[in-house]
Amino acid sequence: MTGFLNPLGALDSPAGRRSWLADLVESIPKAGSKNDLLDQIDGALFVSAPVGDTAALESLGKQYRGQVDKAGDVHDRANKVARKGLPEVWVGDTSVLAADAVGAAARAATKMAEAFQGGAKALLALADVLGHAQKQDADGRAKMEQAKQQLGPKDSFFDLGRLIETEEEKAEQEKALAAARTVATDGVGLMHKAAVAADDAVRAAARDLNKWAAEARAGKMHSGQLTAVDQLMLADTSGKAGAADYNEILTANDLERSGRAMDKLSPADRTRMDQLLANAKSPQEKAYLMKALAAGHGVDDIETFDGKIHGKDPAWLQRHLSPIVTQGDSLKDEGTDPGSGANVNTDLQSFDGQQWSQGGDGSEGTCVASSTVTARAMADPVYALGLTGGPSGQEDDPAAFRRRLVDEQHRVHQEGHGGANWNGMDLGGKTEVVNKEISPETGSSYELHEVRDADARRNVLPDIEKAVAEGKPVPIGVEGYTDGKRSGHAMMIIGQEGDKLQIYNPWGQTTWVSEDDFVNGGMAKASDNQLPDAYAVHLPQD
Amino acid sequence: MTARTPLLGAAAALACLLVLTGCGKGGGTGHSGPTGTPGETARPSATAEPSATGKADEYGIEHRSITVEPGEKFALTVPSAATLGEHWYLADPEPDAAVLKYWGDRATGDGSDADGSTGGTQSFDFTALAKGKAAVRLLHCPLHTCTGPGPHDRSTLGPTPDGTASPSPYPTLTADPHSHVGAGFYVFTITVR
Repeated sequence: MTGFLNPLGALDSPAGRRSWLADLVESIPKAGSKNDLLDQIDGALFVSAPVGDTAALESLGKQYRGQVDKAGDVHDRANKVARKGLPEVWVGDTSVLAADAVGAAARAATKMAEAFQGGAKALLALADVLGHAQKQDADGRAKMEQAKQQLGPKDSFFDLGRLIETEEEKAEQEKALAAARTVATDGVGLMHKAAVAADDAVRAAARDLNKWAAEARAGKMHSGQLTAVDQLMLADTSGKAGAADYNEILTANDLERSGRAMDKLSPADRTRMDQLLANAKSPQEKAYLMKALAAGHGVDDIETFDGKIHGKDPAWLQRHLSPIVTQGDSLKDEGTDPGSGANVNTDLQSFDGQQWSQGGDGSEGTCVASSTVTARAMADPVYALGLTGGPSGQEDDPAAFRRRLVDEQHRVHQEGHGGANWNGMDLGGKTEVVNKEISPETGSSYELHEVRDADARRNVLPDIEKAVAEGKPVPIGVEGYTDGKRSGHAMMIIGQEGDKLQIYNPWGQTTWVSEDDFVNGGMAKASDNQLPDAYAVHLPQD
Repeated sequence: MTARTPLLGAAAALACLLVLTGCGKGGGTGHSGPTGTPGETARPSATAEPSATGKADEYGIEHRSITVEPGEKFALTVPSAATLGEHWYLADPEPDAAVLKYWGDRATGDGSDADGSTGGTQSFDFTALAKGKAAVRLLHCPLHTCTGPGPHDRSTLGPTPDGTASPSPYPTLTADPHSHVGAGFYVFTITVR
């Protein structure tokens, strides 16, 4: 420890304070002199205590909890109506069947109750941990002050230069130093534990609250141009296969962007868009039209797109327009492969049996371009249909899809100045392609963050969680060293549930890793033992 | 296993891999040992002989007939890139333990800063013990084709229509590892004299 001038703002973040104290936990027991120990004690006391008003958090948590029953009542009433059934003659502004709308309302009420319950739980847990951490930190600080008192003031230059010192005096000083060191070691240990607990609790609460906020989907679409029923239905619509909650067609970001885009349409375009929505044969068709609008397409494009997908069944739509399907059991921990270290529970992502993979079968080093192409296809159904269904949009031919997919991967690889023979791309090229290919679809530019240690990775987690909860993919680079030589690979973080992150690997597969895996070198679970460390992410900027 | 369409650009990628794994060092001999001994003129099926330096010699896939001396350490080094999800395994029957001592395998990255760079290798290390002949069978598992030899294979990840891929038998191959689509065995014959 060289002082406590907060170098480079190291103490401005919870992770920085945690790391600072962790260093002191190691060094204080080794302090070799009185002055050294006093410096280190001051360094510890320089770190601020865990901040947060536990009473306010508890009060807010209880307020949320109070809303759970009300939301439950709404669900029960809507569900009762849904069970009784309604005549199909009742339709909304864009031909939403009443029974479907009531069903969606019941589900939205359930989600609302879950969000209030989850939010309350997150806030109350945070208040509880924070209160305990603040107490623990205060105890630690008291011990540090006690150690300081035991040591007395720092020795001056003249004290240090004093030559006449008896053996007895020396022994006495050593004894006093050892006693103060023991007290300070206890004190900094308590402070560090408090910092870790508070940091973890704040992160968990931020993660959960971001997630619940993104889950409050029906409220995302602030459009004056769509009825409440339409908005509810659009937010509720999922793909045919996979778990409904994991496969909603419109992400939170899509809902927001499509609502804004609707409001910006000219009256003529607005009428055309209304007509397209009203004529849609299924809620899924309607949701994909809105997703195309969210991706930035004009009504002319959307009209052409609708001409290709109109009347197709939900399974066809999902197959052609949603590259990734998340299965309900995908979060189940089935262990790892003993050879590769990868998760056994891995879902292949394919179109008619042809995977969304680099080079078509994993044979080319175009992981950057390939993960980018798939992420763009996830955000833009018009783009996805061009790859799966071809120019007519009607094809169901895996070989033709593979040719188009690989051609597109090659185009993006060249756009990012990737290596010869479809071999590798550096971070500069990656930044260029994710901004050219994905940003226009999601509305957020990407900024590179190198995360080469656990603290840096822990620091970016809240931003990753928020981005993917909103439906914005986060490009991630992983690496490892074998025999002193580096291997690197590119993947995409595409989802989040609890403390798990869903990873798309351009080998044509998805799986989940824990946030602890992300922070502490466990990324092999998403690919291979030779690629354990996340070293860079591209974060969407708001 | 579903038949796959031919690889795009595989030949070019292969060429790069072979260079980086040392196959190009001896004029495409597959021998990446420290000195250019017989490998320089050897064809893929020719017999290669090791260099006489202290460092263990490495033989690539082009040299599957290898002659070594008792006490000599050597490695079979094959192109294997972590970013491509491929793996190689020593398969049964393992080489005659009286002739060869097997030490294990090791991976090596290609050292590039780029993500997706495919020049990595995997080496299988041996020491020649006594005069005789031994066969070494290496199973190459490209992405999603197999996860190892024998009962540990979980090749059901392969994109078969009904999810009932058969893990074996895989063919024995002689062509370069990236000119074929699925998994296959490569057999090296080691003569110790």
